[in-house]
Amino acid sequence: MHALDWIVVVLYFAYVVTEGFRHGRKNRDIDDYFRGKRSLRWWAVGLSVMATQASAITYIGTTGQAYTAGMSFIQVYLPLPFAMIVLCMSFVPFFYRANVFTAYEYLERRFDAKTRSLTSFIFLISRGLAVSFVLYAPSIILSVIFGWNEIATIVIMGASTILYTTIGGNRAVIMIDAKQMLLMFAGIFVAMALFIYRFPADYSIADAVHLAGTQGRLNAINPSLDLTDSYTLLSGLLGGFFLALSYFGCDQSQVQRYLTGRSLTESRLSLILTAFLKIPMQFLILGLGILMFVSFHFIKPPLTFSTAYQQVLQQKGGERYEALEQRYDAAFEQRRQAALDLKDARRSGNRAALASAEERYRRAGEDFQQLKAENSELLKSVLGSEPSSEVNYIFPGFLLQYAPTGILGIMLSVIFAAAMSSFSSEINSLASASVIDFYKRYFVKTANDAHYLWISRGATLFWGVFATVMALFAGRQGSLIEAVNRVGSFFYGPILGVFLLAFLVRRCTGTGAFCALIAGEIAVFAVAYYSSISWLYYNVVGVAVVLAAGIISTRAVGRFKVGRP
Amino acid sequence: MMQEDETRNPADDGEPPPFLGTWNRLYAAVIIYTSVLILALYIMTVTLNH
Repeated sequence: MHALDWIVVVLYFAYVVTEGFRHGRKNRDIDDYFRGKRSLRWWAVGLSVMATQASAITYIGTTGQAYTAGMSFIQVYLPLPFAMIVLCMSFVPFFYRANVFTAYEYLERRFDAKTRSLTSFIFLISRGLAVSFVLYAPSIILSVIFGWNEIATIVIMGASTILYTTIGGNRAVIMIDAKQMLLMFAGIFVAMALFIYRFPADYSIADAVHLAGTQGRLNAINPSLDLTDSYTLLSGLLGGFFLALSYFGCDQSQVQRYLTGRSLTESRLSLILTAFLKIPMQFLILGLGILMFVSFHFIKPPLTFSTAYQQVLQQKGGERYEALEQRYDAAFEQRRQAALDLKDARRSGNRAALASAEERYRRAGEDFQQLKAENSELLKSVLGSEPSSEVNYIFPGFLLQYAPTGILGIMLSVIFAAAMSSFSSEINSLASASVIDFYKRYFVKTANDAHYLWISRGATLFWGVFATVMALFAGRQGSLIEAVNRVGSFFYGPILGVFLLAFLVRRCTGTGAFCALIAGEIAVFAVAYYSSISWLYYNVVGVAVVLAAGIISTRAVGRFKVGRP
Repeated sequence: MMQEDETRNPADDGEPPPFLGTWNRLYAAVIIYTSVLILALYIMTVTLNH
């Protein structure tokens, strides 16, 4: 990396930490620290909501996923605007008027302390596990691609974020998130320009779209009704709706964003902003993966994107690897020529020529993929175990090789911004749930503002350090974006079910809701273990079981009470 | 015990949004916008993906 790139990255880190200290001076009590005194504007809160959801995993994993499997992942986000409307009409007003610090605090007022505590505990466990991925994704991958020290990368990212979050509190997190989100938007367009710049001189966007379509990469909508297929319109609309409803309505990392709104209207508008921007943003990020896929027809991608695996193959692959490399060079050239022929055939308007060119291009693509598969098999035999998915290495690998000096620093700052904006919001929300739902509820019920403020900072520091240490052991996963959502889906549905019981089933008791939550978790784990349905449906199962169990227990208790003398 | 203001209809908020006059119109705009996006993605899949 050039010195200029390092300067850009260092300036970025210096700026966010300085901003944290600047906002930290305003904190006087936990209302300042966790809710920014409910004084923030809708655009800042809305951008923070988006920045919290869009982690580095979104950039690295989603672009890689589009590169390898196309645009079908966008279906998960399609029902998000509908979920935002439901939240604006129900969850947001309930929370805002209840004047709560955490979503789970509301459950004690509606049900009882044990339901609040269990729900908050599940949040702490699930979010506490997932937050390590937020650091792990960019740190491990960037260290593999750029040859940085893994531990140092994780620690520097974690420590910087912990510093500005611990000092600055939620106001700092939101204001920095907003700027990081704008940087991320800018990064999308910079990356697009980088990919398009790599096209041959006479190659147009229309040619690229046609090529991607010929390889089935423009598969945004899959109407299949197969329940085992992860990304279909049905699983997206159904599972994605409950996933979004639960994540934005019951996950403290998001609820804490819109609780800081200056008014109920401002809080609602922050979610409406997300409703308008989220799908286009995901489309653009997936589009990056597609453009990258097309670019790699004209610049030769490595057999494997992980530099660590490249070294392993070079050292232990022997003659088999050398032969594979030679065949790979020929296959790449054949596919490149087929792609150019396809462009000429499309422009000629001759249908027969186009059909023939498409067929030749598909065959060349299959040959090329076959060699990639053979390389994976070779790598597996050399390693003696399944290698980690290369999905996560493609985008940073491209940046390292082809981003110009200065631009590489900007793009790395974008990836850091994406990771740090999510990490800061999540450790701040873990701290608020720990302090408000447990420490202040059970241990020290009355103390002065300074005491709670320092405890809150201590809790933020604890969760930050915990997540950073966990990131060092995050382990090998497939697609990171999927891994994070998959972990969340074990818990999101049942928690959403409890909140729906609170809002919709007036006679439901605390004990009924508590038992229903446990039943919901058991059902989700059973379905995950015994069936092969897509993880997106776990959210639906969780909600359905909790609602059914809550309604049945409410009716049973009602009859029991009626029958008593 | 629920606080008094929590028992109000949560959808009944006196303050209108700064755009389109009422919340219901704003929600309708979101629904129409999202439906158009889904339709556009479907058309893209059917016509360009092969």
